[in-house]
Amino acid sequence: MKNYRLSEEIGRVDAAFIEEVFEYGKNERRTIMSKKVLAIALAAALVITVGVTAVAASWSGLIKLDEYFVGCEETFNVPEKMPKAEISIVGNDLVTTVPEPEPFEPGDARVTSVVATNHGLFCTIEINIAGLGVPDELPEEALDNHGFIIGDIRVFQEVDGSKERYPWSGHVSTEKNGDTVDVVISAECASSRPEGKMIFEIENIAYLKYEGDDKVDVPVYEGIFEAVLNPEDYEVLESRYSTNIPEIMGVPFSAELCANGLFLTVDGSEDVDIVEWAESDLGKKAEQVTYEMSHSEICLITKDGRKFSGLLGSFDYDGENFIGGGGSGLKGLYLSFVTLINTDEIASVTVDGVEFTF
Amino acid sequence: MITLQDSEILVLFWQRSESALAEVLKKYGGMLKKIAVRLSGSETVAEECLNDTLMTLWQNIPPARPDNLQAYSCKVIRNLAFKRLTYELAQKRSVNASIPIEELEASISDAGAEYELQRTEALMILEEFLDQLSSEARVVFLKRYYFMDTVPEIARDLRISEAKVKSMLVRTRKKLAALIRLKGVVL
Repeated sequence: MKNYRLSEEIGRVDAAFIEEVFEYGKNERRTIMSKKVLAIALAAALVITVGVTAVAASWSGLIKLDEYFVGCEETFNVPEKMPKAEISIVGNDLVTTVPEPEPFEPGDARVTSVVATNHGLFCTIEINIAGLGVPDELPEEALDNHGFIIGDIRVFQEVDGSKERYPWSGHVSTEKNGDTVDVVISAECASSRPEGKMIFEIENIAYLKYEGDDKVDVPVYEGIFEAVLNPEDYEVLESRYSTNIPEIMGVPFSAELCANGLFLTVDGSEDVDIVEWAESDLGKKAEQVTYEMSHSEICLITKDGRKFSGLLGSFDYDGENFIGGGGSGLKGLYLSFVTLINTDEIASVTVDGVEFTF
Repeated sequence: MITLQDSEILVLFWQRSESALAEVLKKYGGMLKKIAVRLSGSETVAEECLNDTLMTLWQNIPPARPDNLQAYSCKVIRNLAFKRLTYELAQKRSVNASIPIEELEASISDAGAEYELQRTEALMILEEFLDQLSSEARVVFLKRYYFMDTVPEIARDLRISEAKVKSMLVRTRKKLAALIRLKGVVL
């Protein structure tokens, strides 16, 4: 008889693990609430300990983004085998507070803080829901560990009068505080840099409930909120590029390190195509090579010699994240960090032992 | 729909009031049945498992006083549904084991295991493995392999992309296979 040993025994794991699943969303919200007390002394991004302790707590709106990255701390998993280093939440200049947010009348939404990198945006958006009929408390039928949510969020960029969809993937968290709903969006994009006016369209305020076995959105307010981030309100943090061109599986790669990710690109050749390289040079299926590459062990080494590894829980990659080449081929691999990194402090990054220096 | 606090439901159990069962059904019935449906692939079996779960709760509480009634109930129905699955398999009946089960079991073959993993060592390895994961990865893993959630459901619950869920699951299964190998389970 076929045996499903792991699937059977996972049903017997300590109840604390299961309780964590129920509490996960709640904890996130609780963390946000408790951090409000502490956040006055904290600043924006989660960075590898750099000794920088400048605090910019007086920036309005910055606390929300700070809380978001505090929440990311758990995903920054330093394994036992590596030297343990402190991970600090420190103030630095990654976060920009929008100096003159848009007017904020009921029904309005505005961007209050932003971190923009070569490959994405991290923004706090506030929505004024006063008088829109959004209840103060969740109805009884709601799944209360989700709180109020938004139905959807779409990101556009407008350059030279042309408005186009910004093709992002990433995370959104939502928190209702009285007459305000705060939305923190981490929008990552391998192929496009934030440019020009960025527009966020947020659809509906809702809650989740079970309908049969499915979870469904139940809108408590139906409509579109639009928040605009003007070009003068943000600066894009420039990436750093590797100073060497090491080989991975026999092919030279260069690396781009930005605050939210590492990009590996076949270096300098218009002719190298990862699919072709995999199939002809390595004799493997492209999917196999991309799988192997996307499961690389990553290690970040700081200028003062500390190491951070086992970060794979914080990376987001798979075949979809390969960067399209000029032709039909694929020329690169995008490993995105969930956590913002102060790239100035990074001396090198190793990918399965292959070292890229910066 | 007004539901009681777990502590209030437990009081009903201790008072031997059958309304405790109605309250569990009202509050957690949908979630519990979903676990059983996903494990067994059958609405009918799931319904039976749900009834058996209520019976088990009634028999066990008191003396049991679970700290978390939701987790306790999930554990009961999951184990009952799994017993039912293995029974059906023993009867050589056709069972559509759900995709998460096949995915998880592939961790053993990925590790190259050459003998049957025993129950106690499987549990020890799983708990050690879960301990090593980040909180987010652990929740994603358990949602998939304990609660049998689909990838879109997990992505939606945790407000992360489906691509991220998929890659986290692949990665964590790979880690589990590595741990099984490390523990010398593989001959």
